[in-house]
Amino acid sequence: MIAAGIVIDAWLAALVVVHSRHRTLRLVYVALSAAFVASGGILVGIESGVLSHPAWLDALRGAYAIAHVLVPAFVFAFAYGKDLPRGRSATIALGLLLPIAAAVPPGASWTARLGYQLNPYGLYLVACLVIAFLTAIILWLRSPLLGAEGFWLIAGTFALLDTGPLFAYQLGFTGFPDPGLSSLGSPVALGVFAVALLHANPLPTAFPSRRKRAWITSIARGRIFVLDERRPKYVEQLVRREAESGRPVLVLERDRPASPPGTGRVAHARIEGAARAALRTWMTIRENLARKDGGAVVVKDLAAIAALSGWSRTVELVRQIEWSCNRFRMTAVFCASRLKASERNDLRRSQPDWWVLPDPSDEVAAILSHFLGSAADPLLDEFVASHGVSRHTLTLTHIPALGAFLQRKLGDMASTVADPQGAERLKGELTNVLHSLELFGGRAAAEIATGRWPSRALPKRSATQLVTARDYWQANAPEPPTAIPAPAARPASAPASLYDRARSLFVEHLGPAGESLLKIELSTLDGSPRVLSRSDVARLSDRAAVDLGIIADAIDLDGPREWLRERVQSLCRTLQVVGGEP
Amino acid sequence: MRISKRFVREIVRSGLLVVLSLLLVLGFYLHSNFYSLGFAPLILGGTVLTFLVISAGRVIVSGRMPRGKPAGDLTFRQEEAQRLVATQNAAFIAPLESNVPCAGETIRAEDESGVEFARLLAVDCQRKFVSDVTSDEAWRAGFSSLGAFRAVAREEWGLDPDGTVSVVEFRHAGAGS
Repeated sequence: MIAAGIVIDAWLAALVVVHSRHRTLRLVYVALSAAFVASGGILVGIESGVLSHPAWLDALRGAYAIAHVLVPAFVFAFAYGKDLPRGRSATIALGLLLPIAAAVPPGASWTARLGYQLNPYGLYLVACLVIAFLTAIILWLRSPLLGAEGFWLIAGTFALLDTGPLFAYQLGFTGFPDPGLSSLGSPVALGVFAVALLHANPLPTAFPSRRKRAWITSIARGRIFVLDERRPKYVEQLVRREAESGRPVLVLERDRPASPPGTGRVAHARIEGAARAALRTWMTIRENLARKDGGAVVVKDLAAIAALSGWSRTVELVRQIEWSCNRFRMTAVFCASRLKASERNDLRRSQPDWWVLPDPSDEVAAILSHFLGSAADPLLDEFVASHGVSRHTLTLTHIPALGAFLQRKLGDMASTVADPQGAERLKGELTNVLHSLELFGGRAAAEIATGRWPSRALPKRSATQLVTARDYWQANAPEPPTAIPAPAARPASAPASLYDRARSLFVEHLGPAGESLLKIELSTLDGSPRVLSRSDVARLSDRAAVDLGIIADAIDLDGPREWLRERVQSLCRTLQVVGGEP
Repeated sequence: MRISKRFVREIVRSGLLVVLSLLLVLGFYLHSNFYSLGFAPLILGGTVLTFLVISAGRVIVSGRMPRGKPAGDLTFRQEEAQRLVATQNAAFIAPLESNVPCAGETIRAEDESGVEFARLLAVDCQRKFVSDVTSDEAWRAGFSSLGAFRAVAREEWGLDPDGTVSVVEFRHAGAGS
């Protein structure tokens, strides 16, 4: 039976080594298994007469004692982590007592089979198990986060107590013959400890770069930050900046990142859809960041953890992280997106730095609207459609692409404006838009959190700064739209050349700017400004329909826009007639 | 003569109880040395073993694994109840502020008259933006289409595409009592 127990102990140790991601706990567990295996092996050797030297009895006592002191060490490490003072102090204290207890010579009645006797050594062994048992009970009763696993720790320590001191006491009390050994409980205890260990397995994660280097953080150490944004967007910027500084950052999120950063010391862990999400999140943080002094942990999906594990466990997770932040000078960042109102209130009670942040898509829309008026929305919609995203998913990382898009669009538009002054003003506005976008994209979350949002700072429209198509056409139109007579077909004999006729039509339809527009259109047709064929006029009509149509679309007032469209259509029809004449 | 399913089930359950009883008696006979362990270990170990045997008997008699106390109950309309009974991987979508179970919790599914018709185990719980809910989730939650879900979210729950809903995926955890 003892040999079978040894095999089971060794198999459980191998199982934990293969499957567990806890470094410290795994080490303690393997040491515990090894101590039980060693004590069982020595006992079998002594009983079978193979190990007959008296020194083996001392070795057996030593192995027993080590196994017993490792039981509370395991429970403490599970409950508090190896770096936390409560568990570490208790383990060290018990470890220091070990040589003292072992040095006291046992009574003459001491045998390998009955280790738990009323002597310092026996009391020490019992004390170790009782401390572990009581700690497990406290954990079970008081910790919503670790309570479920506390049950398994209770079961394991109880198995050792039952097959150890209780059994020895019973044998002594009733005078029954000795039918077994205290170490028979070890397979049961190690089995349930392994269950707890694997339930609390940290999430798979790896830091791409293990190289340590100096870094300067942009957010305070030893603090908790809550990013109150509708969707977790600024948190991405924050992670990127911290990673670029070389700071170790652990990001926990429910969904896998679309493009995990390949550089820096950023590790992503995916929160699995299970009830133990909070527990495994905590174990992941403890395992990865307790040893990386001053690292940052970013919990992007606190709402996902609350949904999976319940809010009571999530609150304890936050408290544990808060404590770790103070202890290890870490920084924790939580995203409050998708939290209930009551949950937000609970979160505020820990008095974190609460940053209320806007949605970048709203701010981008506000900037565009400020400079481009009603043309902003169509432009933004066209941009998001061309990039396969929606306005909801527009993030700060899209701003450079948006700048390039606007540069292309507005640049094209400015080149078609005949009035040089208008074109310059349009280009100026383009520069302003790009500058504002760049400025906004470069602002850190901390700065934005002060409340200086573009949507608040900028008025909806600025008539004095805005160069809109409305202004352009109102300033340059020959007369109000309603006063302009409908274009009449000119007599065939009036102009001497096709160029003159085209120029007259342009001026008639578009006012003084018409002649300039005609020249621009002709330059794009590679034709001589003064010599036109009828086919050129027909091509001119097509070209004008496209280019002037774009300008008409950019007008932000319905009336002038419709008027210009009508003018353009009329001009093109007339040009087609002229081009089709024999 | 056709034997009813209920009768067959009772026969099977009774047979399993007989096998369990047989194992118990064999255990008494073969492990007689166990009783020399002593009073306290016998009480503790024997109690645990007897409890396990009784629990096994309870599982055999009830025909379902114990899931613990239900965490709460959800009320479904008649057509939703029928769909839930018929669907293996049903989903439930509710506004964020509603009380929904966490992962691993069992709930009583009741119809509008308060009669429990199923026990459901929540296997996954998510909080999603209305715009992020997939058509598959909407369909499994009983909506005819994604558009129908969004219409309900907008008109009945007052949620825009950036509003948040809870999406719970269920698995059957036994028939209702």
